[in-house]
Amino acid sequence: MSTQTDVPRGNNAVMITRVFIVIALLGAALFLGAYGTHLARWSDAVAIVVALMCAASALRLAAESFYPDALGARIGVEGPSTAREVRQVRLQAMLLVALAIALVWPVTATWLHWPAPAWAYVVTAAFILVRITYTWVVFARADEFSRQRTRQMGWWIFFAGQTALLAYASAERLGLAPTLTAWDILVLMQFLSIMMAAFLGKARTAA
Amino acid sequence: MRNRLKVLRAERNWSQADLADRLEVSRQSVNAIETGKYDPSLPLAFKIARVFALPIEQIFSDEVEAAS
Repeated sequence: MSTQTDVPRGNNAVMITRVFIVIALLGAALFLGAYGTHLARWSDAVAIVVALMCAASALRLAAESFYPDALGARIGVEGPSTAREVRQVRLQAMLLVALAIALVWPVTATWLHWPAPAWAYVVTAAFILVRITYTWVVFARADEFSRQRTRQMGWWIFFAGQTALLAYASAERLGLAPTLTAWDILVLMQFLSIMMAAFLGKARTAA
Repeated sequence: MRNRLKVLRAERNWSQADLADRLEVSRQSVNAIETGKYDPSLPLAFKIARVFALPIEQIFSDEVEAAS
């Protein structure tokens, strides 16, 4: 099979994924329009949107992983992606799905008046274990280039997060802004992380 | 920093995967170094020199030095 036939197939997969993303976002908008007033906090709505962004990214990665030429081009290597690169991308997609579940679950459990919050917390604890294991395994296997990119991303998220927190916390302490909960801050941090990852990814591709 | 990695690799008829295996790094790393998006650490630069059996300065050159 030639590259000329594979690349359009890969592009079709990405296009189909984009259609799914638009449908998912429209669904989220309809859901929030219909049930948004039932949510406990504004951050619950943001959590649902962030979870959908994670799910959409996971879907795109999963779709691309079936087209080695398209995936090879996206990760910036010569020729089609290897089995190891496909595995890495699928693992990343699975972590994004797990993150989406971890963000939506506390909102859903609260919304459904889950009878035992301690048992509901087991889902979060499981995700924390998965995240620690994934990060440890990926970082241990990474080479210096990957580690440098991870550090760079971490630096930008830390800088932006700290600056925003300083600005807001001071305003809150002075009574100029309403109090935020740890859940609000977590959701905003996840949103910031995803936006930063997307922005830096675009910037690297354009460079 | 400029480098001749792509030329040297082509002279030996190595793919990015071949070079990545020899250097024990990912293909993304090789591509990033070749396209000038990433400058390798000193240990990796020495490893590259060993793999090509060339002095380091025949592979990497300073931008200012190369311009003058």
